[in-house]
Amino acid sequence: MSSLRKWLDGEDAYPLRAEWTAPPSKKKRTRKTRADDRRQLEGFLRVYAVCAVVLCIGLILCLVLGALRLPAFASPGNPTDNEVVRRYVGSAEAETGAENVVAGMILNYRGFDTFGESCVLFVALCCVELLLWATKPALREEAAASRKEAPRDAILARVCTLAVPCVLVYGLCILFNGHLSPGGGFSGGAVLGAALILFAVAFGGERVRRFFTQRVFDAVRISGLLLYAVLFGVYVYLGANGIESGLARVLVQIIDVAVGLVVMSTMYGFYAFYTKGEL
Amino acid sequence: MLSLLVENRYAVTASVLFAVGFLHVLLHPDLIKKVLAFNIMDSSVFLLLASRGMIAARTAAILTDGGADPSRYVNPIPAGLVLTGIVVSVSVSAFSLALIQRLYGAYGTTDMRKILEEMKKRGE
Amino acid sequence: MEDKLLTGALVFLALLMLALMPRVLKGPRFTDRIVAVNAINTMITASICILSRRLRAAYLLDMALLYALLGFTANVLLTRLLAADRKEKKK
Repeated sequence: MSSLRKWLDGEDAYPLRAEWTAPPSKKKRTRKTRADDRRQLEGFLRVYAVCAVVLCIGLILCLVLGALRLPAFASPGNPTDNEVVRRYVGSAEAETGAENVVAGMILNYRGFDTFGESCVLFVALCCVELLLWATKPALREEAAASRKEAPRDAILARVCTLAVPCVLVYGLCILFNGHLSPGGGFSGGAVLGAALILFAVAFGGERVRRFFTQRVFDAVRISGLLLYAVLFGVYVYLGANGIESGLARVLVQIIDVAVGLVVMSTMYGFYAFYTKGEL
Repeated sequence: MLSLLVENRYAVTASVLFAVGFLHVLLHPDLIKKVLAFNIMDSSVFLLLASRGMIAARTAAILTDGGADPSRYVNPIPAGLVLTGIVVSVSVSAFSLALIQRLYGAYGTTDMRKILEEMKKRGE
Repeated sequence: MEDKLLTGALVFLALLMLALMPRVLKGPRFTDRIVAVNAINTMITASICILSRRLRAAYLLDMALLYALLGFTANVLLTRLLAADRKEKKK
C-alpha cells in the first residue's frame, strides 16, 4: 500500500531504478539501511516471480489460442503452400543448376541473406576472440600446465585415427555435393569443424597448430568471406537468374565452399577460444 | 477443441516450449541457464517454422527423379528461414557465453543475484 | 505390413527414450547422465534410419550419419570435461 502511495506521489518504489540518480553517499549507509535494502529487494523478487508466472501463463494462452486458429498441420491450405513453391521448384534447376532447391535458393535467390549470415558468424567469432583474448596469459599458462600432465587417451587416439579421416571425407562430400543432395556449405562446414575438434581433443592442440596456425586461420575465414562477396557480385553482375545453368552451377559450387570455409573456421574457433583462450 | 489441439499439435507444443523458455529466462538466477532457456525458445520457433512448411504427401525440395512438378515438393522457404535462425542462435549463444565467462572471471560466479550483490559491495 | 512393423519399432524406441529420461534429468551422478544421453543419441540415430525406410527417403540416412557423428563429438567433449573436473578436485 505504501509503495502504491509512493508511486502515486511520483517516487520510485523499486530498488532497481531505470533512471540514473546520484548514489547516496557511503557514510550515511548504516547496517540498518542495508538490511532494509535487502528486505525490499526480496519483496521485489517475490512480486517479480509471481508476475513472471502470470505473464507466461498468459503468453501460453495467447499463443495456443492463436495456434488453434491456424490451418491444420500438413493440410494443403497452409500459408506456405503458395505461388513461391511453383516459382522456385519449377525453375530452380534451370536457373541455378541445383537439384537441392533449398541450397540453390539460399545461395541464389536469397544470396544476400546468406552473405549476412556468414557475416554474423564472422562477427560472432571476432567478438568471442576479443572477449576471451584479454584473459589470454592466465588461460595460456593454465592450458600449458594441464597439457603437461594430461596423458594422451590411448583409446580415444586409436578411435580418432580411424574416425577423423572418414569424417573429413564425409564433410568434403557434403560440402561438394550440396547442390545435389541434402547438405551444403553450412552442414559441410560444421562437419569439417567437428573433425578438427575431434582431432584436437584426441591428439592435443599443438598437433592442430602445426598446420592451422593463427595466420592460416585468419586467412581461411577472411578469404572465405571475401570469396563469397566477390563471386556473388560477379554472379549478380553477369545477370543473376539469367545466366546459363552450367556457369551458375560452378559459381554456386564455389560460393558454397566459401560458406563452408567460414563455418568450419568459426566452429573450430569457438572450440579453441573457449578451451584454451587462443588458437 | 481437442481435435483442434491434435490437428495443430506442433504449433501448440512450440508455443508451450516458447513460454517455458521465456519463464526460465525471467526467473532463473543463473546466467548459463538463461542462455539455455534462450536456446529452448529458439528451438520452439524452429519447430513452428518447420512444421508450418510441411504439407501432407509432399517431400522435401530435392528434385531426385528429374521431375520438377511443384505439386510434389514442399516450400523451400521455411527450411531456409530455419537455417538462418540456427546460425543467428549459435552466434548469439557463443557471444553471450563469452560474456558470461568474462563475468565469471571478474566475480567468480555465474549467479546473477550474487554478481549484483558483489557489484554493489564493490561500489560499482 | 512392413510400414506397421516400422511404426511399431519407432514407438518402441520412443518408449525406451522416455524410460531413459529420468536418468538424464535426475541422474545422481554426472556419468549417469552422460551414459544416458549417449544411449538416447544411439536410439535417435536408429530411429532416423527406420524413418528413412518408412518414408522411402534415402537422404535421411545422411542425417543419421551426421547425428551419430555430432553425438560422438559431444560425448567425447563432455567426458573430457568430466575428466578435467575430476583431476582438479583431486588436487
